[in-house]
Amino acid sequence: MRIYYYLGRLYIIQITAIGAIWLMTYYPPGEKILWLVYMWFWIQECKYAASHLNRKQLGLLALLWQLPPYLFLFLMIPWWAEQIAYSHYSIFLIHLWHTPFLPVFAYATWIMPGGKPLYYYLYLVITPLLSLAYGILAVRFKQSVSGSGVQPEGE
Amino acid sequence: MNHPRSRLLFFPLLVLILAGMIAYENRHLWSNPGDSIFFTYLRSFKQGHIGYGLVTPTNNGLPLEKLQIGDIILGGWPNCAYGNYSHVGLYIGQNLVLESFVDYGVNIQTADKYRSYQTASIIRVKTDQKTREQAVDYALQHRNKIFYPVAFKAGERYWNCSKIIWMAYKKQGIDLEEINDLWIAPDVFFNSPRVEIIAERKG
Repeated sequence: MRIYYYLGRLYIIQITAIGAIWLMTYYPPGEKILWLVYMWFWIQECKYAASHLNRKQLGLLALLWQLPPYLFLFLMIPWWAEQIAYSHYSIFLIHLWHTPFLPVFAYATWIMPGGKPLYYYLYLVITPLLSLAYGILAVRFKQSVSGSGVQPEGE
Repeated sequence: MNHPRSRLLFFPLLVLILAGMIAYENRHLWSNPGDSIFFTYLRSFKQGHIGYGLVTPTNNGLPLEKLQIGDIILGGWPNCAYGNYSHVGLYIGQNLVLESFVDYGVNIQTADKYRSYQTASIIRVKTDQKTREQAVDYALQHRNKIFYPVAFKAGERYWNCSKIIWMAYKKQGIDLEEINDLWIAPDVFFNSPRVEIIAERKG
């Protein structure tokens, strides 16, 4: 059950960060600062979970945390897109889910591979990249915690 | 802010604060909420309409030969959640339209695609041709910039199809939006008293 506690925390941070960073675009360039806060929280949450969960749970957490955009990516596969109503909105939903990265992706417009801006491809790969980065970081934090004998962060 | 509880509360509290600040700054919208795109979307959502509507291509026969540089060209699918028109572009000459879409950001497409919409219109801003061309120049300077579906009118960093055109004319001193809403939707252009309708096709 412990994994759900850390998963819940990640979802609360993710979903409310989407709202906060979107609303902050009303007061530019405040959203860029919030992206830094979001990344800081993300790393701290990774460290927090690593001090309480085992490797298997951390791997599962890395995947489950990004479950909605994985589903949206799945719905972008042409065959599924034809079967499921509203699946053509998947790319919009991926954009919205990854709103915290909007301030950074806005810079990724200087090259146009295949006629599309770089940020379009970043939106497609950011989901597995985040899972991978979370998994790698969590395992590294886990190694450093178990190696140093440091007590887990307070609950 | 590094305590686990602080991390959990930071963004939710910020959402409340920012939403409150934006609502307060835009309190003029509360006096006549029916006009705001936000409420248009809510009403549509209740009827089961979401997004840009049902894509059902046709040939509407829109007279593209009437287009002049700086004209605004609108296209609509049935059941669009934010009005009669789903998409909008700015005519830049040579059968080309500057528009903004999720896949391409602010980009250039051919005008022909607007013939496939169920509802389509060509409208012209009531100003001189030089001003229209300056609006086109402004929009072209933002080519390839990032698309964000719920971009606020504020700022010049995130765009959608309506905002880039609204801002292009706003920079020339022509505000095509009447109620000072938070967002811009394609219908705003069609309903503006500062444009004339050149052609209209209803599906």
